[in-house]
Amino acid sequence: MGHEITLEVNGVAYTRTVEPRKLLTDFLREDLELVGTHVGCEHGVCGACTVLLDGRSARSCLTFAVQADGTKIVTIEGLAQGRELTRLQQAFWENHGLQCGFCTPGMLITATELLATDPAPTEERIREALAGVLCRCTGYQQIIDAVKAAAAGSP
Amino acid sequence: MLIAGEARFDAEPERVWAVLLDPSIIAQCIPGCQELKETEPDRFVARLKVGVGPVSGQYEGTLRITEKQPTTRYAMAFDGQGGVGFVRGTGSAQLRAEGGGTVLDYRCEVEVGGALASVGQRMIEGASRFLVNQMFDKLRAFVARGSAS
Amino acid sequence: MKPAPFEYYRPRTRSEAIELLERHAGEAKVLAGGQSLVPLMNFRLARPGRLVDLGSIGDLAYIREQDDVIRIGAMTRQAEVEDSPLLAARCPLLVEASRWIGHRTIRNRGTIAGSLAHADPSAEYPAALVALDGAVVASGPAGERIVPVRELFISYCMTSLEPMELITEIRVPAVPARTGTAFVELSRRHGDFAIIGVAASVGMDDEGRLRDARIALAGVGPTPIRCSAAERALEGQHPGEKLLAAAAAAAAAAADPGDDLHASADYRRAMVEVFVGRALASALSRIGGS
Repeated sequence: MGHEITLEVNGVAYTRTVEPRKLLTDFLREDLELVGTHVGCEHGVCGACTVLLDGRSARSCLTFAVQADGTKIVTIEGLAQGRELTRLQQAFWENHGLQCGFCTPGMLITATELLATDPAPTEERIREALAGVLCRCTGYQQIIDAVKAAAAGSP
Repeated sequence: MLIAGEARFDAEPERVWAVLLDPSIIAQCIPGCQELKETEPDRFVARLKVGVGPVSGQYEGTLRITEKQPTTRYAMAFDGQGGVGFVRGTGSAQLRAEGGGTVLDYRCEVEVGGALASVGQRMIEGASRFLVNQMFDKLRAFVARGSAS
Repeated sequence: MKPAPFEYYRPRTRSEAIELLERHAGEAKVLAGGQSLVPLMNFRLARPGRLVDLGSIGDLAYIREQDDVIRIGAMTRQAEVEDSPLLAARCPLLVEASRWIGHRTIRNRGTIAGSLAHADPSAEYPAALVALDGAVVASGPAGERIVPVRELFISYCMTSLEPMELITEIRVPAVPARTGTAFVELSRRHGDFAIIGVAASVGMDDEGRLRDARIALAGVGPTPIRCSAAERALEGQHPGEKLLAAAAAAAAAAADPGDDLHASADYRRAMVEVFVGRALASALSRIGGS
């Protein structure tokens, strides 16, 4: 029993028919082939699935695609402008803010939201803001350095 | 985990014992019990749909009465499987007359496993106690009904 | 894991939502923010046959004050509660409690009514509402009824709401003059579920004596627990170290926590004493002039 939904993802409008139980994560990955949003835990604690929903970070694994009808979504694929990385992405590059890259979409989306609301956060504030995204590779220090560098304006 | 406590009934031990050993009554007292069928003497199969709040699961299992000392002691073992996990353990009840009524001391060792246990860790003990209390409330109502007639 | 199939409804009005709940009573679950329900559905621990999504009902998100009572619409997001200048001034306990709920990303979607209806005794808003003596407006086919929160929470994830009722509004008294509040929590990592949490509110009269102390605990029982004995110990007394210590000890004695993987009952009880002490000290330090 399908529901028709229309939503904007990274500035492009899509209309698709989905089962109610289809998670937004799976809709993005399967129906729209935007595989940058990752599936980690499927219960909201790892953060790898984080996207921006109407400008605010949200766990796409805890959102049904039907709930996203009429919304504007930004995924990791929507951060960079063509081949031009955002200052934050550039800072991750320069500061080794990723290794396997699995948590990186979640980290970037969450940090993008942080810097939009708090352009010059303290280290403690950065740690608090990113506490909801789990990284198994880096030990977090380089991620925090990257966000600090991006906030300071020079990676 | 251990669920232990005391339940009081306003009837003498003989009456409480009769209720405890009546499968048709027990079936109505076990929370979510859909079926309780004696397959051999002192052996039952049970089907339950039980849960707390938004979480509920369908379970199928067996119950064996392992000890029966009329009007004083009763022990059993249970083993249930469901989509959300398993529940197994042992339980015993000790009855004694006190002040015109009965005091039932119960002691249950319960093991819960599967998704239910890993996700619901914080609430398993409390939710189990809640369900056990629910069962004793219903038992009490049946015991009272019998005594009044 | 993926959730089991369900039918999905998106009513446009409250009455449409209530009618759906009534029609499908027992089979239907309300979907608000989804931050507690959807994880359970993804694990298939919860398998509601039907979901009634409140997301399209227009007039359910607001924060306003009227006659010293703050009214918060059910679908107000936890992040909106956290950011509200009105609440920062007039009910700071709710703002402080909000900061302990998971992470900001969760709070962007989670709602205040959803948290109360879910009734996890370790959650922040239930304890805060109990300390504030708040109430919810429950709307159903028979109309609206006001449910004081002390009558709302029954046990783990169980409320006195009927299957065809939904919370439409939360009401809390505005913070009185010369009153300080605090919310403190113990968890292993920032954002984890509380091992224990304390919501405290304490006022002071013109002679410097404490009045209207309220202490509510999260994580130590099947519902939030009010520490009446501790509150009585403080009433009418001048604040002091020994008094606060006695109140904290009384609160710990009132708690009947269980053992679990995260903490033993003994540890929880010991921490209740420590954290009630901290919450009271903090609340006291925030009692401003009138």
